[in-house]
Amino acid sequence: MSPLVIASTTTTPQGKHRPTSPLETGEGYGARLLEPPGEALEHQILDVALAMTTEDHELPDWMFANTTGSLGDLQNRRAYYRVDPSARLFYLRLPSGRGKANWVDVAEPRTPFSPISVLLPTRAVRVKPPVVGSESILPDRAHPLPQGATGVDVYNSPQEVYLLGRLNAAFVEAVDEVFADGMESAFSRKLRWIIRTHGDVAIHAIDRVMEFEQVNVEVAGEVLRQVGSIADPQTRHSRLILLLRKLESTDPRIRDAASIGIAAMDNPVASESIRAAVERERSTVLKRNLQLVLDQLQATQQ
Amino acid sequence: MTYFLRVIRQTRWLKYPDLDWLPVGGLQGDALGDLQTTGNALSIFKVESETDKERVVIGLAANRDNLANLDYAVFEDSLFNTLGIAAEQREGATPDIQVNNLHYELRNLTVGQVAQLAQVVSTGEHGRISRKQVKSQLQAAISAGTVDRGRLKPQLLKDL
Repeated sequence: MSPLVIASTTTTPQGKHRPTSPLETGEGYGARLLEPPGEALEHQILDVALAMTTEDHELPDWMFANTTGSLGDLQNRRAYYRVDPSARLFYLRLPSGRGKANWVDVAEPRTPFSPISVLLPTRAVRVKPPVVGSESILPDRAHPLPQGATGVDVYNSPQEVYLLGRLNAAFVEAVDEVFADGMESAFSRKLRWIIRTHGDVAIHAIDRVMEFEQVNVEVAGEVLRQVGSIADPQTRHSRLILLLRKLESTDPRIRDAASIGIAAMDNPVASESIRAAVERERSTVLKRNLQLVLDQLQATQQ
Repeated sequence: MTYFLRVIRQTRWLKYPDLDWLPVGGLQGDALGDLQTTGNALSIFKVESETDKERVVIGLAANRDNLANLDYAVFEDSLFNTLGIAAEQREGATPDIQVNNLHYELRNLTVGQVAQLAQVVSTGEHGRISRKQVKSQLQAAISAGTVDRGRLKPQLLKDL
């Protein structure tokens, strides 16, 4: 089969046409299969995946809001997608047939969708899988995704797979930033946006990304500070759970950042966990800081 | 003897045995993140009393993008002469005029001096004001008129 070329107009999952080239309008970039595959299902999946590229670095809310059915199809047929926004790489795997277990990997083309070119504002790129450190984090038989502390099966959550990619890219970029408490950073803005947009799924994904050994401790500490201070009532519970778990980290920098996050949330529910953390803490500095958090939570309770 | 204050992140100053990969007496490379110079100058605040310290801390918190805890180090200037470092008074840019008068700059710093300064900072008194404390003290400072509300950043105002 000849290559599928993705042009600059599309039918969105809602069926709305975007006739103008995003390259001209600056709205983003849609796509249309010039040589559509025979199966409507596959076309639909491509539409869903391509919809993800319509906003630079940001996944439009409407995609998840309006394509539940499509995503369900993705899940049931074990198709999933992945976008690395920072590198503008487009990665998509599609089932080569309904119900079959073998995959079509556009990075290593076999059939029937290979290769796929994606027309981006800056350049046309061939797709390839993003990596975490030296390993691809895309789930496959050779390199299964590690289970995070949440225990969520990545295959059941295409949204989480997408977020893992976004977060991983953000974590890697953030290594070059110098963080200061109370100061905005590109990373903090990105992280807050992800949490506000994707809620608990984002917290699960953050938890998973932080499980990777290669995660930079300074970046991880910044994550926990942001997780604690963001004003997002919907994720209050999952954020607190994440922070409490990180109190048990082997790294004192992570434990301290978690305690800062918990103090920012100021929820007395955490008192007992903090008390236990004070008792087991060996670092004098951290023990003192944890005690301050405990005092604060007890005062809040009263 | 004069004391100066600089905002830090306490975890960057953890030492052995808290971080067992560090040699005894060694500092983390990340500590230099708290001593980033601009134009080879470093900003510090003179604190001659506990009152000064509290006011400087809130003045600095008022100068930030949003509400957060504030970690600081208070250290002596006793080694400045030995290190060839001079503190020069320059008006600060916080929303508290009095705090601005306590602002000093360490100028023309070399890499070696910054590294030696890190040792000085590491031996100082390190403290933390929680986000909640910052909020209440900042609100009080605004009410008292010591902090100019009009100079606070929008997100910080929203957080208050």
